[in-house]
Formats: sequence, structure tokens, C-alpha cells
Amino acid sequence: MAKKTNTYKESISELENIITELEENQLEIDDLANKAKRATELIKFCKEKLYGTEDEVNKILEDLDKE
Amino acid sequence: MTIDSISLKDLLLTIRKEMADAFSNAYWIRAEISEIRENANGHCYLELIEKDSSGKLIVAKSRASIWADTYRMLKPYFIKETGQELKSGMKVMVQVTVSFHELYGFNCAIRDIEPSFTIGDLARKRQEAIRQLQEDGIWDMNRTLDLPTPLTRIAIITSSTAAGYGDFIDQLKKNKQGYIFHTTFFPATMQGDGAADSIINALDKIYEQQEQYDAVAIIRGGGATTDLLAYDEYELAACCAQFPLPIITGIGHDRDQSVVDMVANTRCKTPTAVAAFLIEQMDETADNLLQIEESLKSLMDEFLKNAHSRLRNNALSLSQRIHLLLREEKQEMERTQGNIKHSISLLLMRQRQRIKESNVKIKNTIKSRISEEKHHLEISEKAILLLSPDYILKKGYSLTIKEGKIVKSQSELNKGDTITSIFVDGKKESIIK
Repeated sequence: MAKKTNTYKESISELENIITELEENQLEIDDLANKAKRATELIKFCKEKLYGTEDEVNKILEDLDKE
Repeated sequence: MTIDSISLKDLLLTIRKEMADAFSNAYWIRAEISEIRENANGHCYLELIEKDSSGKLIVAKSRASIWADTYRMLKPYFIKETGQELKSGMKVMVQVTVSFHELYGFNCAIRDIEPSFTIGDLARKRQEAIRQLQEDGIWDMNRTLDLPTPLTRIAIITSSTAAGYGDFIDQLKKNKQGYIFHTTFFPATMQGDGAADSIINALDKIYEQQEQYDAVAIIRGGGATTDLLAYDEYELAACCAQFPLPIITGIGHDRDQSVVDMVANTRCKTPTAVAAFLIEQMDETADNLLQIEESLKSLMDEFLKNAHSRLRNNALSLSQRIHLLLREEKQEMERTQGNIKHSISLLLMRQRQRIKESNVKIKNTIKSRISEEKHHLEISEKAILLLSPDYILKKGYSLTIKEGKIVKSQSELNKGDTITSIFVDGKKESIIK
């Protein structure tokens, strides 16, 4: 339906794939660094979807301070 | 031509009188309210109608009234019993007395009302709406939509005057977990006449930009819980049921769920409950993400640990193999060395033996040669001895020497020559005669 939502979903399923690969020992040690990097990016992206970007968070904190 | 005539008033007064005589009783009648209004004196004026079985054609119509002293009692009673106010479109069972007034015409004066009839009718209508939605095959459509993750972009349909809206937004945006919600406000009339159309209108607007939202919240903050019939209407319920985004309701009423509640994806009792639900959904999403993060972390740790220990094992076995190999090489070398030593010493021994043998041979050869030579020498010596002047002199021979030279012939000697004769034991000079 919504593009952004799909991207979150896709990120989650990509993360789940990495977990499966790890669980089933399909990863080569050479891939691990790349996969770890990719997973970190995906988690960061997902967290931004939930908690907003740092800018948004800071703005909210500012708003709270004003009150 | 003279025609007998009476005045209008006389006629109408006659009708009034006749009617009062003929219809002196009170009657329970069933009708539908088509118009209703209260005036400042507390009287209630209505228009009652009856439709044919198709529900389209009006087949009977009459003015009616509830006088203030009656209305004061009937109104709260009806609301208490039905949860609804009297309104147009409502079917009622009322006890009336009929009267005719020369100035105001025919009128039904309502004396009493039977709320259970209206309740039954509303329930029937509601049932009819539900049946129709199921028959249309749209009953489950919104209910079976998956709620998107994350659920952050919310289109909110509510009344612009609702005090609850501000609280709702506050509750949503100041969640202690820090989730970001993006809310868009779509104002609508949330109760009474026109509510259904107004909400449908708002839904249409959202429909046009549906990609921008994850869900729709229909909330009604506070206020009286009367006149929520809109939420049982087929048109609104059908619109909600078929809506492509999940609908979350927080209409806030105590009685049974409305039809809209039933077809909505998620039904909450109040706006507060809707906000709590949305935050809860985010909790779930965040939990899920956290779990993924943690299992990734631990799996990667484990992977690295395994890889490390594998590497160590490999390194260990490598060094073991190298040691083994070295040992084998050493042994092999030692063996070869031993062999070489042995061969060399064997060779040396043989050589020595041969040298020894050669030595002996040479010695023997030399010896025999020496003895041969010796023998030879002895023979030669003997011969030499036999031939030596001494040996000859010993035998009695003598040597004659003249002027230092041996005289080998008598002719070399002249008279008077002095010769020297050499004997074995000396010499003697003599003169030739």
C-alpha cells in the first residue's frame, strides 16, 4: 500500500533473512562484516521510522523544554 | 336560484363536534416521524407519515403534537429507554387522541409513547444493515486488513470542537517511549443529523491521498451518547468496510457496538483507548525490532566465536602437522645420514683394506725386488771380485806399469826402461836388460 511501510517491512524481512543465514550457518566469514554493516543500517533505518530522525527527536525535546 | 349554504366555520365546527363524538377514545398507532420541532413554549410539533411496503411512497400523513406538559415527561423517558432522541426517520408507536380544529385542522395529540417499538425498529434496521453488508460480501474487508508496521501516520476523523481531540493528540505525541506519530486532522460532524454523510465525506478526502496514511482513526471525544444512529447506517458502515486503510474506531458509547465498530479493523471504546492501542502497536513493533537486533548481535557473536575457535583448531593442527612433518624429515635425514656414514665407513674400510693389501703387495714386491737386486749385486760383486786386479794379483799375477800406464805387450818395452811391477803385497821396480 504505502511505499514507506513496504520499505520498513522489506527491511525487517531482510534482517530476518540475515538471521536465518546466521542460524543455518550459510554465511562465510568474508560476508560477515558486510552483513553486519547492512544489518546496522537497516536497524538504524527502522528505528528512525519508529522514533524519528535525530532532528525530529531533538525538536520534540526542545518543544518539551518550552513547556 | 337560492342555494342553502353555511359558513366555513359552521361546517368545520360541525366536523369538530362530530369527530369529538365519534373518536373520543385514545388510539395506539404506528407511524414514522418525518418532521419534528420544539417551540419556545415547550410544545413539540411533528409530522407523522406512513410509507408503503417499498418504503418509498408516502401513503398517509398527519400533523401531530406533544403538548408541553406531556412532552416534559415523554422526552426523558424515551431517551432513557432507547438511548435516542425523537427524530425524523424514526418509527414510533404512540397513543393519540384525534381532534379537528376549525382553524388548525386535523391533529393527533400524542399522549403516550412505547419506546420498545422504536428500539425494535432500530434493532431491525441495524440487523438489516448488517445482513446487507454481509450479503454484499464486504463485511470482513476492513477487519481482515493487516495493520501496517510501523503504524505511525494516522488520519484522524473527529469533530473540530471535540475537547477530547487535544487530549488524544497529547497522549499520542507525548508517549514516553518517544515514538513519532504523524497525525492529520479531518474534521467531521460526529453525531446527529448529517453525521454519516459528513464522515463519509472525510473518508473520501483521505481516500484520495491514502498512500500518505497507515490507518484512519474515527474518534468522538466526549459529549452526550445520544444520537449515534449514524454509526448504524448502512452507507457509512459500507464505506468503512470497504475502506482500503485499516479503520480504528473510538466512538465512545456505552451501549452495544455500532455497525461501524463491527466492520472497523479495530474497535476501541474511547479516543484514549485508540491512542493507547496505537502506542501498544508501536511497542510491539519496537519489541520485534529489538528482538531482531538482539538475536543478530548474539548470532554474530556466536559466529565469530565459532570462526575463532575453528581458526585456532586449524592453527593448532597446522602446527602439529608441521611438527610431525619436521620429525619425519628429521628421522628421514638421520636415517640417510646413518646410511651415508655406514656406507662411507664401509667404503673407507674397504679402501683401507685395499690399501693394506696393496701395501703388503708393494712391500713384497719391493722386498723380492730388493733381494733379487741383492742377489744380482752379489753375483756382480763376485764377478767384479774375480776380475779385480787384487784378486788376480793374489792369484800370482802382476801388473807391469811403465810411466803410469799398464803395459799390455812386451813390445812396448825397450832396454833400459824402468818398469814397475805391482804385486798383491806391493811393487818392485826393475830395469829391462
